[in-house]
Amino acid sequence: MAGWFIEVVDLYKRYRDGVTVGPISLSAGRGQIYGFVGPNGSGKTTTIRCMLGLQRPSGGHVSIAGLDPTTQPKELMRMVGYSQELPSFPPFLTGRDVVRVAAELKGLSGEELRREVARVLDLTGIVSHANRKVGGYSKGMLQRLSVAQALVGDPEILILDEPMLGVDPAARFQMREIFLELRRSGKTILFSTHELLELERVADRVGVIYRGKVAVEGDVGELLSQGPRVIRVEAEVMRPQLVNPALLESLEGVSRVSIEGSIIRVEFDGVDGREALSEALVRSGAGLLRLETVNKTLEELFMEVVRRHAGG
Amino acid sequence: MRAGRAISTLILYELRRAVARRRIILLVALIFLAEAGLYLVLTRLPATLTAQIQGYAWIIGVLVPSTLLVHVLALTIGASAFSEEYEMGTADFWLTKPLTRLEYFIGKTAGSIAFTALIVTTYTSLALALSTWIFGPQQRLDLVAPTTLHTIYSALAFLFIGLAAGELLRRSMFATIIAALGFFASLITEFYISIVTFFTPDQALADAARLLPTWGATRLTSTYIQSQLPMLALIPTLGTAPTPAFVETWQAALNIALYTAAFCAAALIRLARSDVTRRAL
Ligand SMILES: Nc1ncnc2c1ncn2[C@@H]1O[C@H](COP(=O)(O)OP(=O)(O)O)[C@@H](O)[C@H]1O
Ligand SMILES: [Mg+2]
Repeated sequence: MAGWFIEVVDLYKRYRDGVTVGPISLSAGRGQIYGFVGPNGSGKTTTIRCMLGLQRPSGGHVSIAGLDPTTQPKELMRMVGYSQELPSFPPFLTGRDVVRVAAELKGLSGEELRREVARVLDLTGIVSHANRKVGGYSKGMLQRLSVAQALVGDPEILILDEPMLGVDPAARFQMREIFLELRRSGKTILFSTHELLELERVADRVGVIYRGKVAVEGDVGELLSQGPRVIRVEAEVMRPQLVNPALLESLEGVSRVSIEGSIIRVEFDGVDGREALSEALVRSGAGLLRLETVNKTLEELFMEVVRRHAGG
Repeated sequence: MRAGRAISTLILYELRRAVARRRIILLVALIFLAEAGLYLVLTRLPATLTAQIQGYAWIIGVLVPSTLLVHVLALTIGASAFSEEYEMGTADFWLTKPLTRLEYFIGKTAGSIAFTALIVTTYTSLALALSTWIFGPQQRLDLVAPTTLHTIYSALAFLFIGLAAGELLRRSMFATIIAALGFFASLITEFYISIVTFFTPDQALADAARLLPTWGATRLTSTYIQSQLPMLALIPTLGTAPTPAFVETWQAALNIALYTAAFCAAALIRLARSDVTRRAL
């Protein structure tokens, strides 16, 4: 499809010891948050570093905003902010120095530079540590500083490799808020993670990478809807003891019923029996409190991928 | 224009990096101590011995570090310039900014040269101050600036040998050791050749010695001074072997230029062509 803002086509990297990552293809639209997920060692960092021109791909093609990282690195880097996996900075610099150096390299100067440095330090919540030497920073602080220096100069595209790694829950929440705010202002974000929960919360589109290949890719909504055939329903009742599982199983199209405490889960295959289910529950006198259609979780999607690969 | 600013950012960073390195600061301290020690020894010598050279005492103070120590310092600075960024995991930071690898190379290299120049200037000033304080007014101060420049230039050879070792090996300690081994192996070879040719004159062997990397670097400053002040030719330059043949300043300069260019090219090609190494976790 034409018009992708970030596009990777059949990228692969062969390391000297024979380890090969790829071929990988992925694509993200302008203004999207793209989540790149996969277990450790699956090839996320390799892909990202090839996308940035830090590593030379053995084959394939990368285009970011129409630019090729191997031939137009400078033009590309004007548009990109990058936070590396497990960030580290010269330990003898302060956090503010790091951001200032990044701002200078991005071409800022004078009052504009001073204001921009203050803005990103404030946004990422490290102002109070900004005058301390980076050598004494915790993992979480390094991640925030890394995001801060990536944000400097307000780049169009952010590429963040495991930005949530080592970050405490409060800071994660803050980081997600930053991502969402950036998306609202039209920025494109590609971030990698090995934690599915992080994706589900913010990503518009995901690519699941497994053993060096993109196994599934798509917009989150599409991927997590059940597909045309399966409908999964979750109901909550006041008196579960009055629910007769055999009765529910006899409803048309029901393939599975499970009751856990006050929660009843029913899966329909090929038939939309939601109305019949709600009637049955009301008639049983169990006291229906809530009934909703549930989507697959990313975790289930991911496990399907793993199972498929293990089986095949 | 932007490239110029980025390069100056890198130069300033490089100065800070050098100052933060214990290995480098130790060497600088050693240089200053050697110089102070030298003057201490000179004051203890009978006045009859030192009477003739009192007005030129600053030159001795400059020659001592300029002959050997400054090259060890230069190779140490060079060896960590690129390798340490890989070790710290900060190469990704620099190389994902609007900066070509060539600009990165120029900035870091210029920073390393600037730091070396700063140290040479400082110990030269120290030599001037100490010699004036101990022996009174100094002669031929017109030679101070050109001598300093010659020394800085002579340090380039091992600075770039260190740089190339660091960029090729991407390990600062390993690169420092390899470059230092190269330096001492070259010195020993030179010394060995000078002894052999002293007993059995062999022009081919003596000429071969001129191809060694230490041959230019350790001689340039002293040859330059001797060319300006023939009477000082009597003072042996510490640490170097007797010169096998008459040396022209330009010959030493050419030797340095060749080593500098070759290792600069090797480092640049490696940097431009290869993947940026990830930090070893
Ligand atoms: N420099 C390298 N040399 C050899 N193999 C490497 C190198 N870097 C990464 N790999 C291998 O490539 C694979 C993918 O690694 P990586 O891209 O870091 O995955 P992820 O970021 O998903 O954890 C792993 O098997 C890893 O061991
Ligand atoms: Mg990774």
